[in-house]
Amino acid sequence: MIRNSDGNSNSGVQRLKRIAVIGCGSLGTQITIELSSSGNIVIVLDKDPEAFSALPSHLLESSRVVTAIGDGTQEISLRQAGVQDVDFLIAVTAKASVNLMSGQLARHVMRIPVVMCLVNDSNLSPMYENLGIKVINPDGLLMETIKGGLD
Amino acid sequence: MYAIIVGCGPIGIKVSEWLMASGAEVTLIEKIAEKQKFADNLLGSVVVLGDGTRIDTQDTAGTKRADLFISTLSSDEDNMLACQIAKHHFEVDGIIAISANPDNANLLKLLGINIVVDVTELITEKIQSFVAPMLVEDL
Repeated sequence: MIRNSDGNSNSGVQRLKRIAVIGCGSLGTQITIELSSSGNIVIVLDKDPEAFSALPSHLLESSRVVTAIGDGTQEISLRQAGVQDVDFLIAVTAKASVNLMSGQLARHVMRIPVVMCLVNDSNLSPMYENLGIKVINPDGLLMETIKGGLD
Repeated sequence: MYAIIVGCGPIGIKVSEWLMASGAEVTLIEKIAEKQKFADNLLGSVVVLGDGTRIDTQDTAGTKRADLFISTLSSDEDNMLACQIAKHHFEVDGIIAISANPDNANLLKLLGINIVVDVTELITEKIQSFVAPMLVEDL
């Protein structure tokens, strides 16, 4: 393999990203499909085995998507699913406190480089951004889109 | 001393009664209207109706000027969120959370919660203290 002056791989092939998605509801399912279809490996975790039913079988068969049953707020569940090795974790369950606990566990205990959490309460965003978590706020995004449409 | 207690379950109510009897000023936060009403009657108009895991509710309860913040909810992640708001948004010094799952106690401490009361461990120890002498008698 040819290495450039930075010592990085110079093969021209981008390394596959490993991504963890916590919560396989409609949003988690959509994110999993999108990110695995663009060539990444996605580990998707949910408490409820039924939650994975909307994932297309070809993605599961190709091993691009790995499903794991477990509680995203528990370190043991995350480790059993292999989440400690991912580059990126997105927590999108229906409950903000679950997303934030899972996200902080991933960020501060498992040292995952990038962690995003879905949080509906926009007031919480600045606080958690300061704590190293990237916050996705649906209401904020919607308002930006609406304002953009008015311009 | 001004204390905020989140959750009007048996623990929240008992701790509040003791704090009040000890001369502290206490405000409780309870999300369920029936429980809020019950505790408000019992303790004397000191219970705010609202979600303790929200900044606006904690603001209404006066968390800004609190010396002590105790979260007694049944879910560890809700206690974590309530305590982190009190610590980082309102800069309360004394933060206590109860935790049902011993696996979470270390995480909660790492996330800045000063004191984590591990309920499962306490109950287990209590049961052991009763049962251990019986085991000795058996020998």
